[in-house]
Amino acid sequence: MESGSGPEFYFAHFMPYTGIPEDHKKYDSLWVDFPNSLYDPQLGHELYQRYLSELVLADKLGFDGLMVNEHHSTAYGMMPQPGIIAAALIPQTSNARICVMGRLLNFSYPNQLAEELAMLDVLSGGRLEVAFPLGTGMEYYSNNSAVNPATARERFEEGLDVLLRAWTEDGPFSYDGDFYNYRFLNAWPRPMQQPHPKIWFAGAGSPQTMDLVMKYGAGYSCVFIPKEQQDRAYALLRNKAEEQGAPPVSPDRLMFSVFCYVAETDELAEEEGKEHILWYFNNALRASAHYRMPPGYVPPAGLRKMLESSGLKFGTNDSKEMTWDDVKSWRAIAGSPETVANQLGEWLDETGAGRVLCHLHLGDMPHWKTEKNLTLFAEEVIPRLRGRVATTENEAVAR
Amino acid sequence: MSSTRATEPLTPEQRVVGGDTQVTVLRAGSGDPLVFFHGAGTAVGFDFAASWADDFEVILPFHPGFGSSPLDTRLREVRDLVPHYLQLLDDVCPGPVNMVGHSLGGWIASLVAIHAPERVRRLVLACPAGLRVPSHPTTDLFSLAPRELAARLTSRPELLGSPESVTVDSVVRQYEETTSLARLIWERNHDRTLQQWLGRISAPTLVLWGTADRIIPVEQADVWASRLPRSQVTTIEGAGHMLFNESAAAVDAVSSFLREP
Repeated sequence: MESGSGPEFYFAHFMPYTGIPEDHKKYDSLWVDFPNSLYDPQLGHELYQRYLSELVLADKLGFDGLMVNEHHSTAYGMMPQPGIIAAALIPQTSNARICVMGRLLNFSYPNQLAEELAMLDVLSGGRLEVAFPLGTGMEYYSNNSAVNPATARERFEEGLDVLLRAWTEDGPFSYDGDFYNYRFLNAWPRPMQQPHPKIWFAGAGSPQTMDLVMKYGAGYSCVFIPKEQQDRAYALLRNKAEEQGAPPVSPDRLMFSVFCYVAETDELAEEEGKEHILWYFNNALRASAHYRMPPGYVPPAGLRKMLESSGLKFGTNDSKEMTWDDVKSWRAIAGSPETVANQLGEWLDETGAGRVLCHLHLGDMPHWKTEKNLTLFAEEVIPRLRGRVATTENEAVAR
Repeated sequence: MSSTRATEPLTPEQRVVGGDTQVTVLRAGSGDPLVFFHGAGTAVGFDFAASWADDFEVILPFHPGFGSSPLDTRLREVRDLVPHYLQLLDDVCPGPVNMVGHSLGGWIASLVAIHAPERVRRLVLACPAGLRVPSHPTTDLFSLAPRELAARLTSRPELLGSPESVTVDSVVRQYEETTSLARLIWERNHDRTLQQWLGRISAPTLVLWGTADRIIPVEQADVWASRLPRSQVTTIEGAGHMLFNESAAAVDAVSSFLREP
């Protein structure tokens, strides 16, 4: 991608199922074992229509990308196959990149995933970007137990090798791996973008993920962790590149998340937006501790670090309700366009990143607020930032 | 815990099996060899085995990835432990041995006895895992929350220690052992063809079970007994899955059975 260009803004939608009962806290988790009898398909239908219209609006408003992602057995999101939503968006949008971030490699055959994603790239005329996460711990409980969390990372790295070779090497060829064997690896169609669509990895600072970023020259995005930890991860990655003599990690390869609500004034933004952002953090992410951490999912040294920093609280279910101050440290902001733009400007400087994943619909935010938030963000916030931090004046003007 | 007759502590010994797999073996006593295969956790310890050392040479290997034996990532299923243990037996005690397996260790012991019936003099299977019994299935350890697991594991919860005894080290060690277990049995906690081959086991076999076992139901005992050619079933009233830690009677039942000619 064009390194050195100004910051770009991707609108992220999780498509949450909002019809959960008031007393949902009697269940430990909104994931894995949250009963699907609580799902009403009629409401689901209405929500899909509504959420698709919000993504389409974001394209019209000039967002650079539209992000959809994959989760299973949860009210958190209604996209067990985000490629379907991506395919629905393609004919309704024209400029925004279609960002499937991500697709769970470990729970698909990598050749089929290579084909599916190539389809989306060809369908969209080369607008696809894709992220490959290892998958939350919960996915290892929700999906077929043939995928062992204790060997998840080995399987993931092999699957990635299969997929990228299927995209970039002329087939057919055979593949003999520990997890995947192919007599004929020969993915049809091939992607339109060459050598392949831009790929991203999501991480929390683990060196293994950074090694993959380096190996494939990929983008790197932090999962939801406090901003100081994110910044350390970005710095670590840049240092790694320098140590290894690799090309510098340009801003277009770094992405960070913001949880954001914009209104006419700071007071109004806080009044209208905060509750939905907090709802997301205190409800949508609610999952039983042991589902987050299936055996082998974290390396022992990583677990030790978490336990030491949390005073043994990690892995217990007695998490306290998050306050607005808590979520601010994850880069949440509610304010007027100026307040939000100033804050985002600081965060762009802190991270050195050039891609902002904008969570502008969260939790139970109603449609009118989402439209308002998207519109004010696109019309009042983005223009202030394009000018402010674009590397060259020209590109800022060209926008 | 289970006996006051212990005369000799279990002493660890480092060994290398099959060229490069490192394991720790606990040993005590002298006499006929008694090889004990432990279950899926080692945290509560094996004090009970010391009482067997009065009559037997107790040999208690830690499976790779459990206790103080390092993980061997090449081992991917329970069956991979069969050649591992046949080699260890050749190294440590050639000739027929008394074999005792608890839970996962019972699964391993039955596989070893199927593959090399001549190596087993007498066999004890204590609430063994490994069979697929749809009417009384083995509990899936991985989907239980820790507090549910603790409640099911034993009828004597004090064995698991107080919440204050939990440390970062103990949590990490437990997670590592559960990971080692997952490498072997995450996909399924039984062996689809084990039942078919139990008829190969020629040694007299004691199937020992606690009636209050909430991990592997005692009803599975009869399935084992119906397939094992020379078996008897003994149940221990009120005992849970941590059979030997919980019940001195279970420990003594092993000694009595193995002392028979």
